[in-house]
Amino acid sequence: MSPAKLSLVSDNQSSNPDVEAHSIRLDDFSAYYGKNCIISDVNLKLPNKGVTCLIGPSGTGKSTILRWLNRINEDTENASFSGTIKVLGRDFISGYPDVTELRRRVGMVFQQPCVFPCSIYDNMLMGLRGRKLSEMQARDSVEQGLKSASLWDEVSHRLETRADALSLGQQQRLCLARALVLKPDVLLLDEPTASIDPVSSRAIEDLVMSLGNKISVVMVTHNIGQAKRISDHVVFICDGKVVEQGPRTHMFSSHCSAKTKTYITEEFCDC
Amino acid sequence: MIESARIRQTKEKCFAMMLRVSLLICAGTLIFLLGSIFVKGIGAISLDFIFTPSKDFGKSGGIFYQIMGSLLMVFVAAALVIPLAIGTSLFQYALNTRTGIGYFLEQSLYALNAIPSITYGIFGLIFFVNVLNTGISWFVGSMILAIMMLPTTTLSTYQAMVAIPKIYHENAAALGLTKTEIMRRVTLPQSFHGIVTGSLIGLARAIGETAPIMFIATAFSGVSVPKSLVEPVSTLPTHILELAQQSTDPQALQNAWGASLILVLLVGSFGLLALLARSRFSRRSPK
Repeated sequence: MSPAKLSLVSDNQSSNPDVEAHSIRLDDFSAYYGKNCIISDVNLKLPNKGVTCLIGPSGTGKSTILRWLNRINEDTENASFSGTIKVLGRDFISGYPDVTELRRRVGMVFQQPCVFPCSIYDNMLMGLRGRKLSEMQARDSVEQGLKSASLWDEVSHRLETRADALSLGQQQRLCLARALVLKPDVLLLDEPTASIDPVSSRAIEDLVMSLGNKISVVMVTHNIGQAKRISDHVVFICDGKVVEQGPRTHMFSSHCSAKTKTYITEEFCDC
Repeated sequence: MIESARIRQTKEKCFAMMLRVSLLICAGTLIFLLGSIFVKGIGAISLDFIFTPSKDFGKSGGIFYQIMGSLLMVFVAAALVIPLAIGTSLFQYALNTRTGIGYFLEQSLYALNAIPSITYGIFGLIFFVNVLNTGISWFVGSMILAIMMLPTTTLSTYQAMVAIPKIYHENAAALGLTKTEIMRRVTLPQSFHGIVTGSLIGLARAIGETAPIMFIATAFSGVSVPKSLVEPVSTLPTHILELAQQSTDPQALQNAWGASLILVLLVGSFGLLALLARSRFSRRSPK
């Protein structure tokens, strides 16, 4: 397969005039579950390319932000929001009357590997079903997606076997491949390495770093070392508020705020 | 005050004993019942008994048309109820039971499940036979059995749907699948075992029913395989009822036990298939 075919950069990104310098922009964004305010007045600008890590203690709203970026939280009971989010230059509600378009452009991989109980091949095509691909195109897409997640060599000879027979690490990479096959402009990762072994975790980190050169990756992680290794930009969130954000070099240097320093060095937050 | 180890052990032993007694009562009753039917019915069973029509109001001959009648009615009932049950479950699932209509629908299904079977029979007699003037018809009987099977099949399918971990739906939604696509590609395939199990349990219940079809679908004698929708059939439960009414005749009684054994075997085979379907098709949770 030619390198051009293997490109992971979305076709939308180069051709779409509405793409701003920032892939995602949150203005005074607050999110609620029922009456509980989970995050309040968040202002964020996430770049078009690179890896942005959201760090902070558990329960501070990192995943909630992520789940609103592609409106997965819309289906969650009692979830509501205020403020605005712009995704690829368009309001994430009014700019995407068809939510499936938003979700195809903003892919997401969750903490727990979740493959559908069918073959690896069918898992890969799950998001492409509506596109009426020929057999050849479908095969190419599957190959491209699996190669992009560094999984092709391991599964190319057994594409028809059930996906749940794979190891957890392979399942998580399959989830990534399944998202990448849609050629998203933004990829959201909600602690993708939290439930897998260190070797698989490292493979995903390498993959995330290479993806960061082409698209915007937003990743929630509790692993400070991981954020240090792979991020270009770090957002520290605590108690539902953005405490500090900036480039990795700033956030992991001695110039960051005292609160950030405490969290990064002691993994403790006194917000 | 902290209980002493001795008191705790005594309580444990009492609880374990209660469990054993409960098990013994349940299993003992079942074994006694099935054992009696088997011991008394096995003498009547032969190929002739299964494959020849009954004669002389069942006193002689076999039960071929009764088996055919029972199977015809329940399989047509299943064909009618399965699409309806899937549709109802999907509707209820999409509505979410916490909303008013969904809650009402779920409670209605439970209520429908609790209605005595004779009530269905009377409803069928009044509505179909008297009002719509269908006459005695096996197809009407199948429709009534389908209504009876509806709650069992729907609730089993619905329970299988709500048991699917939410993460599957979120993953499918994150891939840009619409709600309809999620239902078709995720919800339905993963609740398939519930549909099969519910249908087979519904079949097992329906095939043993006498009351709902006695007035509207069956004749006690003189029938064969129906050639149209509006003909009566003879079924195993009504045949057993007829033979039981002649229980002073030893031959009729022997045939009643034989027919009962065949009916129990049919019900048991549906139950067994339901168990097999559950283990074969049940969803594997994400690791």
